[in-house]
Amino acid sequence: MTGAPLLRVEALEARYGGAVRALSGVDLAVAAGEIVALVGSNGAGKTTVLKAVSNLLPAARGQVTAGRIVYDGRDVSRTPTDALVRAGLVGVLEGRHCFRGLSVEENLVTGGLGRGSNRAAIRDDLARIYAIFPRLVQKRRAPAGLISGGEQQMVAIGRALMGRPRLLVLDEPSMGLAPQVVAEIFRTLERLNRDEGLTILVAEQNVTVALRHADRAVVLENGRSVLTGTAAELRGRDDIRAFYLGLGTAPARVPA
Amino acid sequence: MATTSAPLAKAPPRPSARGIGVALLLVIAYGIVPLIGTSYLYEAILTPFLALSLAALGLNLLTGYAGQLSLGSSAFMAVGAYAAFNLSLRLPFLPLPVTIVLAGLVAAFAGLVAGLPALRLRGFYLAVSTLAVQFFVAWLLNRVGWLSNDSPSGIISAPPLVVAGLSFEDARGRYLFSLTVVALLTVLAWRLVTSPTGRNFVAVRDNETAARVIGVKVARTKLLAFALSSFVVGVAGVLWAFAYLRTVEPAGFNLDRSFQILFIVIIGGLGTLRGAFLGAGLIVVLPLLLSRFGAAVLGDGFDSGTLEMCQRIALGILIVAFLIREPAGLSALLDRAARRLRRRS
Repeated sequence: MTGAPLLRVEALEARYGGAVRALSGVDLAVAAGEIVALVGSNGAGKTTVLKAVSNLLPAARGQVTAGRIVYDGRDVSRTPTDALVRAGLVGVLEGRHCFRGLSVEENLVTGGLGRGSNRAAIRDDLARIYAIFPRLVQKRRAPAGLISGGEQQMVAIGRALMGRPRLLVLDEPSMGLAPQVVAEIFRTLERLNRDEGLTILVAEQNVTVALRHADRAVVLENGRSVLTGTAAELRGRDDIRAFYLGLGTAPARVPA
Repeated sequence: MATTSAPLAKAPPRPSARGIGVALLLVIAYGIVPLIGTSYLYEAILTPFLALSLAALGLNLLTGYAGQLSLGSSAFMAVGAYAAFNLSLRLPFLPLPVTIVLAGLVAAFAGLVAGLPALRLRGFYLAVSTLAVQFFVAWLLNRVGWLSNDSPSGIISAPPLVVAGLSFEDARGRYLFSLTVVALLTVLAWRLVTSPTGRNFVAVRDNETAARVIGVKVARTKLLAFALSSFVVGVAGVLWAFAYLRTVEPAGFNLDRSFQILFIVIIGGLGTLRGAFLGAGLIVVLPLLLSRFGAAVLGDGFDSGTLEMCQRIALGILIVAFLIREPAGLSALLDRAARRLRRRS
């Protein structure tokens, strides 16, 4: 990695409700133009890291208690989320949160409005999103609550792309989706990264998929970043294979 | 009303049955009703219907579109009514429309303040905090004599309804006055809900965190919803006091009234503009139907006490039935009926 990274998280600690410790020392860096995967098991703190990056913790009664988050050379731990969006840091939440009452197209438009796009920019961006996710074209007038899970995830990603992000922060895009849909979504993300230089930070429980598409990965365990490396490196490591990929030696069985 | 057809034409395929329906309703309301109406129709049905519709429309902006529950609607009606009373008393040179707009702005400010807890509270807890507003306003109006010009128990009487030399004093005039105010505000509300701001309201309602993450200013959106909603509800209060009852006291704007408005919204359909009108129609007509029906069935045994009880029971059953069977209210029923008719034809 050369030059200053686009996003740098240093020694991040966070708590919920003043008591529950969610993160106790997370370091990660995302250079412009890369895809970085944040992997780890349930409860390792992936979502909390992403929420901290988008400054969404206060809304969930959480707070950053130590450490720094530097985006584009500025400390952004106190920057309101809407200002971050305008600066190009846009998130996609876990669980494909669409606005159920709005149509697919209205959902997308909301993403453009959040950024402050004018009408012409919104029209251009809509055309771009429909080119990226052709499946959404015939669903454009359908209420977002009534389309399939995969399509909702595309709407959620498309809506974020309407904000013209430089850094897209995705939380578990594979959650609850069929493998083909997951593959399609990751291929799309990779293409955006390759063709448009979109930088992506993606938290993913599905380590196989994540390591296949990411340049680098950061492994979280119990609220700490324990390992960082290129995807190829991590794919080759025995402990990662054992614990997350279910290959090689059997992982320690967790009693139900 | 040419304004309604222009943005509706945005949906290109056909000039929208809805636009024609609205135009037809306006023709009936302005052209036919004033010719054939009786003063009973105006005073007992149409004017209260219009005032309640407007109040429900205002609440629907807040609860139906922006998803913030409020139990303080009648407090904002009271704020609007008393503000208009004081403005017309103390600044008599102001034309009536200006007085009404200013009264709406006072109510909007009250709504803004009442909306501050919404930045921290949600759902049920927010409803309880708006309850505090309800009681505070009633207390304030009783306590501060100046607000009702020191009249006993805060009773105020409406000033003459005169706009630019035209008097709207008789029953039909007050109906037409209310109709005009309601029509204008409905157009504005419709413009609002189809605007980016209206979409932000729905975004905050459907998923606050998702709205935040794509850059919607959630706090500002919520406060705006409270202010705009209270503006409309405040103007409805002015109509209630000036056009319908003519003499009001703070006790008339009690929690029952707030609930009534909330029920109108629920029965009519959350998040639809016409739901407010459908619900208000039902709520206004229901007691009349019940009393006719009761008198026919029970004869003299059906006194006003029994009527009120029956009314509450019927309303309660209706609300439960709607919440279970059709949470989207009368508005959705109407949609379905229309679709069935279209398929048959």
